[in-house]
Amino acid sequence: MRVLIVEDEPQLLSSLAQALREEGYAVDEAGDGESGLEKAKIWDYDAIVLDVMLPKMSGFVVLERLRMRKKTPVLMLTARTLTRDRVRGLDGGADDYLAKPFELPELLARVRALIRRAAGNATTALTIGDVTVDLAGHTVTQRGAPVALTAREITLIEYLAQHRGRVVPREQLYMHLFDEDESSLSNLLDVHISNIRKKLGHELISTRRGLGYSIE
Amino acid sequence: MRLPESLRLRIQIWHGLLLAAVITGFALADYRYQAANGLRRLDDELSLQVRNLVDGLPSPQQVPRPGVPREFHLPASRAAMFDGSQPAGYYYAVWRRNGSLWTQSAAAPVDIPRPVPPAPNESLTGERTRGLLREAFMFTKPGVCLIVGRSMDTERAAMREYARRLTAISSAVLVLGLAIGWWIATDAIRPIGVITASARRIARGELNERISIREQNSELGRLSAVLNETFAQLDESFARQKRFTADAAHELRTPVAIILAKAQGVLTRERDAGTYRQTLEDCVGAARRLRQLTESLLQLAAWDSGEGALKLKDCNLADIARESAVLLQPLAEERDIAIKFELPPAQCWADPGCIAQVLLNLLTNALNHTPAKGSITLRTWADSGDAIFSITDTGAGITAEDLPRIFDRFYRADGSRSRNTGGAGLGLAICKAIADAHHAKIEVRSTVGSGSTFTVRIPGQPLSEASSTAP
Repeated sequence: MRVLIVEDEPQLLSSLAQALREEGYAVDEAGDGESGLEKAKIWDYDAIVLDVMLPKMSGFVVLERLRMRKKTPVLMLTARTLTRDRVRGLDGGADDYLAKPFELPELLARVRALIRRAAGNATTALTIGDVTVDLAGHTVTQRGAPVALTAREITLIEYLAQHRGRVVPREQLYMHLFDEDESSLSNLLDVHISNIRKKLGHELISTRRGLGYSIE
Repeated sequence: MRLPESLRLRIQIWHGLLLAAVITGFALADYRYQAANGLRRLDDELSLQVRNLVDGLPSPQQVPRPGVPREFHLPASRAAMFDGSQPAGYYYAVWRRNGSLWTQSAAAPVDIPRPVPPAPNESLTGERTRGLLREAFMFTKPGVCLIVGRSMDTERAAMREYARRLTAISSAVLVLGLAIGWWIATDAIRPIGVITASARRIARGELNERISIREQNSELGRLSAVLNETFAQLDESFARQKRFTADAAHELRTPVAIILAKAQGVLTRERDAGTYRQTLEDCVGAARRLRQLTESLLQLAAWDSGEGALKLKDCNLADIARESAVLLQPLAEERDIAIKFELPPAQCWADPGCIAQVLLNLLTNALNHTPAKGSITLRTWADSGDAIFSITDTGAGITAEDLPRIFDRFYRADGSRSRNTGGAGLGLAICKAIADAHHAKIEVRSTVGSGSTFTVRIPGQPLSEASSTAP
């Protein structure tokens, strides 16, 4: 899952990025409205965390311009708690709204919920054969026993599970699993796939040569 | 008697009383004039008849014959006027010189008293009223007295009729006047109703409500203009307060958000000592930012409430400027920025601590916005009794768009926000508050690309009592 954070406060930006990366997300960062909008247009993020008070271009404007082209789920973040601002944000196309200062676990839960809803899943548990993926807890169990996977591996399974039955091209996986700084490491994906197969068996993820990967 | 409280009713009562008095006065005067006129006409008529009556006297040329009484004889046409057959109803009586009744007409009432005769050999005419009768009389030179009279019934009846009509017309005019007066009073105080309604809506919190009345130049129109101005100022100050509170909340929330995110982020799992240290340092940084912000807010609140008491005294601005610059010298060297001085003495009436804070704030600002190898020039001088200092930097300058707003609380030029050099945007607002408390003027000129100059003009003498009471 790839997430963009647009926040002008460097300290907050870095700690949010850190927290989301530890959850297994690929995270891109933007320090102002303009560069945030640029990145949001270029990449298909699974979710965007967008501050309202931004230099160069306010979060409301970023959202408005983004909505002309894309339906990427957006979580608005602001220190302004006026009802008017919340209404403006939600009416402007924001999918959720969180007031600063926020609790970090709540922000992470809201980002998860945004991505889950965007994928069309109302529930947090997906079952593939004897494997169960818990989207809320970020855990994978096989025949009821937890399997030790890295955050990135879990995210890879989650992404394929949420696109179950479809062949996901390698480029799409790259785009959603890695942030802009690590995209060039092209064999990273193969490493993760082979690690998952070692831990959960070979038949969970099937390879379509030249097309991509899928979970049936 | 207490008058009613209603302004309209009071105006109406006074107006009604005045109108009634004027109309009554006119009606009475007119009535009297008409009555006098009627009487004069009657008298003229009677005098004419008296002169006609004189024709009946025997001619003076006629030699009186002894034993034959002198005869009073009216021609028949004249006599007809007095026999009661005419509607005018004249009567007459004639007395001889000795006072004995000579003759009288048939219609004459009995016992008409003879008027008081004049001195001998003098003639006299006159009129008199007896009861309902009016009579005109004449004494001829020989002393014969003639009198003609008639009843005043027709005149009285005419005057009664006239009085009735006068009363009717006066009443109509009074009623019409009262109605017009009521309408004028209602129209005149209608704006008061509009003002009351608007004020009530504003009191309910609709602060953008304004009084709109048509007549702008009437007294109430001018009152409305003054009230509208007041409402606008109130509205503006409420809006400013609201914005200030919202901005303050935003600025206070950001460091708290950083502390929460940092601490909660690092607590999700075991970390190495370096990570904990870094996180704690970041939290300390955010907490320091919070502390600085709360201090600035408290300071501004103190200036706003007038509690920021100044210890004003005579001091040399050049000394304060030099000390402030020396404090910042290490920071300037660290950033490779030269601070130049031109500090001739300039006496000012100020609180040295507060002026030093303004200098430090402005110098720090200049340092933050000047690139390495740049320079800052600090000058002081005296001008027409005031002491002035200026700080010129070679920084990026301030855009014309930002320039008028840089002293606003929490205002930050976009650039300084992203560069993260500024604090919360309160530094210049505090400078402005301190300058205002000193009755000093703070100004800024700037050219984008070549730098900015802040100038502060401080009074050199204590202000007179009258002007120092101003906030």
